[in-house]
Amino acid sequence: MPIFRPKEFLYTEDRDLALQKLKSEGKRAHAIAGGTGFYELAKRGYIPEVKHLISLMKLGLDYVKNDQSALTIGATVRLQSLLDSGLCDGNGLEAIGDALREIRPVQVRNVATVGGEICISVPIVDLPTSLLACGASVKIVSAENREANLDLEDFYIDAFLTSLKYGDIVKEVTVSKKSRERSAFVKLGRTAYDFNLINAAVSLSLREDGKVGSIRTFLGGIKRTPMRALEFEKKLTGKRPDEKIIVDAAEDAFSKEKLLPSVHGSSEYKMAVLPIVLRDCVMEASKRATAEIQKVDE
Amino acid sequence: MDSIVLIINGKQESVRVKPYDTLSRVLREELGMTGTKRGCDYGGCGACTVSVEGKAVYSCMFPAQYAEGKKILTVEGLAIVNDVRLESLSKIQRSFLENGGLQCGYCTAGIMISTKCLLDNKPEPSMTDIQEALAGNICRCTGYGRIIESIFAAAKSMKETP
Repeated sequence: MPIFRPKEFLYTEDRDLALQKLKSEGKRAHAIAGGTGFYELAKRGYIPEVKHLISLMKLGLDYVKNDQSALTIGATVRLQSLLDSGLCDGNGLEAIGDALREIRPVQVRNVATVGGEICISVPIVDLPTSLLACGASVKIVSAENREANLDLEDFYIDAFLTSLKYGDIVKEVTVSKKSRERSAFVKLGRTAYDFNLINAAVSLSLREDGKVGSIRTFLGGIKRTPMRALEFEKKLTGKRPDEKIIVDAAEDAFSKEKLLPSVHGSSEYKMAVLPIVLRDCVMEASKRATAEIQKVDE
Repeated sequence: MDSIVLIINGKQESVRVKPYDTLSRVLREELGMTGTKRGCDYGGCGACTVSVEGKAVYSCMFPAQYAEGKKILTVEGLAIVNDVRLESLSKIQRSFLENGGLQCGYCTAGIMISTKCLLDNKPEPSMTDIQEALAGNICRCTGYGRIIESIFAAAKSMKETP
């Protein structure tokens, strides 16, 4: 196995220095945040060529801005810290709270960061699916100090590959708060503390007649990057969220799809459980949306 | 190599670290504190769990440089209270001993640190609290029943005589 032996760990408060180093060293440098995902990959031999580790942890990105209309989360906010804040348990952001609780164990949540979960770009992580369902966007800052906003949906290119160029980092992620939409996240793994085999996140609103008005659905673990389930959304819009209707819609929508197999779950197995995961996710989001409607009526 | 200062079990230790060092390697190989175990070595088993500023972390994937100036608790420090080493075991250690919460003992150091972090935050934990706190600590010989009993007993003992 190739040996991981970087010669520098740059742990600085100087953002310009960190980003310049990331740019000038190119693939010989790698950003590191909490380090949980990075060290796992490094010890498995996936990143041996890296000679410079550039830590983002002192760059002042450990903040949460809670405005009336949106929640903005700095890249180096720890997962446990965001979970403890309770800011992702309402306003349509419930899927994010669900996902944070499903990322186990606490030893990882205490160290792993929101930016790290977003940027690692592997199909087995949970937070991106939930952020995507909630319509998140990321702010990218470059070595030239230029900032740009990008829908998270456009951020992922392939497994281990994002839109970031050498010298770019994700500075923060923003999700808009919703008045009528409510969301949920459901994950299936081998054990409670494992990575996902598949996961699903749904954000939806219900019309006054109880039928689905709008729905935004993302899936993780079934393709190399998170996938929006547009066909499924189309089949469910205007329908009452009923368990059988959801399962039928999922089976129809994915009948021709080849799902990403892994050593822990074949494509066929994932296809068999996907409708159930989607059913539970849509039902939970519907329950929350119904409760919100009842609350407003009262 | 960089030199960093760690506060381990209440004592300052200056140590030189390589750029890729993890906290577990530094503890075991530079400082000789082998109470912290190396199991899978990439965040899957929990044998290497230590407390950093009161929070349980996997030391096998915690960059050593992030520990600079931080208060670290390892199994060797469980019986140190207010910088004084007890003449006997800590209540958590005694509870595991008396309730059969270990067999081979390889996972035990990590499990006891997870227990310490849990009970410091939740002195009267529920079963769910314990399951959540131990989700990242794998035991393959004791079985979790006796471990959970040991944690409940430790919580009770600490409540009676803090």
